[in-house]
Amino acid sequence: MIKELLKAFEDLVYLERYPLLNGYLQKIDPRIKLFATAILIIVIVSTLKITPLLLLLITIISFTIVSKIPLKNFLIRVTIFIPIFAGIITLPLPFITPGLILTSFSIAGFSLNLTYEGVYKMILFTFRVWLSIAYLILLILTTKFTNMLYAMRRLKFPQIFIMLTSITYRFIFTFINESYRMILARESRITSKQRRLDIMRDLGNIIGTLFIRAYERGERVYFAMVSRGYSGEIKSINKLKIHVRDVIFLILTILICAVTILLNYLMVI
Amino acid sequence: MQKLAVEMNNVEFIYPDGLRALSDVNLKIYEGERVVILGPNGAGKSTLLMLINGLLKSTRGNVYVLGLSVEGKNLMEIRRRVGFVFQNPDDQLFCPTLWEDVIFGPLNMGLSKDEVEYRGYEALKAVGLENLKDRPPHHLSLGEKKRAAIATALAMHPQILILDEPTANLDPLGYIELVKILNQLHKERKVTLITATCDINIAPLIADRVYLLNKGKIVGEGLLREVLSNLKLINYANLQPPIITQLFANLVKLGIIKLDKLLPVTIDEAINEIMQLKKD
Repeated sequence: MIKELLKAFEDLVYLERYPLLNGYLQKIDPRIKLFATAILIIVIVSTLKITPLLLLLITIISFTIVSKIPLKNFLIRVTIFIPIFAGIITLPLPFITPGLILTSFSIAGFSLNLTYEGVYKMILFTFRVWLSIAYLILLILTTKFTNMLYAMRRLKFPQIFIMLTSITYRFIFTFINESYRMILARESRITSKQRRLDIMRDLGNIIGTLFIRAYERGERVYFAMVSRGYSGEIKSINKLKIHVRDVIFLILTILICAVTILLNYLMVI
Repeated sequence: MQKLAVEMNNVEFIYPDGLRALSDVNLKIYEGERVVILGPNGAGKSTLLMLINGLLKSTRGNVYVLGLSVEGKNLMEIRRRVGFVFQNPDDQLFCPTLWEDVIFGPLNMGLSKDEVEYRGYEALKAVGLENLKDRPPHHLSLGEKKRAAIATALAMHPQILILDEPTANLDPLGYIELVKILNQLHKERKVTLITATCDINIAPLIADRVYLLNKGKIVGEGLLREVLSNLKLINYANLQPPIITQLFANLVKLGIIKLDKLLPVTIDEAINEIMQLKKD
């Protein structure tokens, strides 16, 4: 069971099925895409009304379709994480925001007022989180990981940050597999029912061992890097060129952002 | 007179925790040689290899590589000329794709873009992985990973190639493939091969000369057949002679055949001996 889940997750991360499709966003230069996504997210989080966000929703749906990514899967994937994060955070909002009272009820002696402004705030917040995540996921789905690193490098992200991202990507499954093997090794030697405390203690041991192994591997990987001339700086071959379509995409994005900002001023809700 | 590739004089290495990994190691490896360092687990083989390209620094004694002393100012030059293939390819391959791993070394050498790409393709071709260049290392088989690890070192055009347990965990086909690649490199590029292994059966396939290492000391050295057929020495080094040699040793002991020279250590040598015996 765990094995199958791991396999599915692994395929999702490493197979890069969508970035290799011949869609619209896949063809855009990763630097431009990363930059455009950053602008879009800034605009999203600074928008205070729902109508302008609807424009961005239509935009992302169109982008998803022209990038040949299955829309239904995409929407599910984005929505899955929303209730966990935004839902919990915004749960009190409808009750603590003062405003037009829609309905009121009392629980255990406390009276709660559900306000129109509160509900609006909750929807707005959740919608903004949803859209931000959606744009990020779309970026990841349409960009090969190495190109993303390349874009980060060209946009002058800190070296150490890029290196960490790269090594995390490379080794995350090596370590997941390693912990899985340790769990199997433990289970193969368990012959009686375990008390909860024993399980916790064993898990603690496994996690501790994993830390030590990570540390030791870190040392060996560093040796491997040093023996190939690494001196603290990552180099790469500049291979991508900005095309006309990249510029068009950037202008399109900026245009959409401008309209969104404009709507934010003009619209009442 | 051949030029020295690696020279060690009375080298000692003690780990910070006090573990004495090597003591009094003397070793001379010439350019273009194929040398195997044989020893059981924990004999100090990996430590010895890491001294050669300066990943570790000897606590006593001197190490010279291609005439350069292994120390601070020479390290970059030495690492450029010495390719190191680590035992676990998962340590060696740390980039998101195979291609980036292969060009990591050449890029650090400050070569031009064309040269870097040329070397990358050439190295992948030498190990037969040019079709997998965009794969994440995570999705390669162990045999492919081992070959990929060799390619990452090859791309730097090393004069000396160091391999730590290259055949560990390999399946028979992977094993044969690896031996073929190593010998091709030796033949075509005159690369000096230094391999550390506890697998005595691979020694005749990838070496002409052998050093025996046990408990941090060199306990024997010499030409392949001289050393491997010396049962006393092999046992002293906590190793087992090759299967062929064991077979012949037993046949001689049982008086089934008579042999007035060294025991054979490879199948070819064994066949020669049998043909000789048949003739007599």
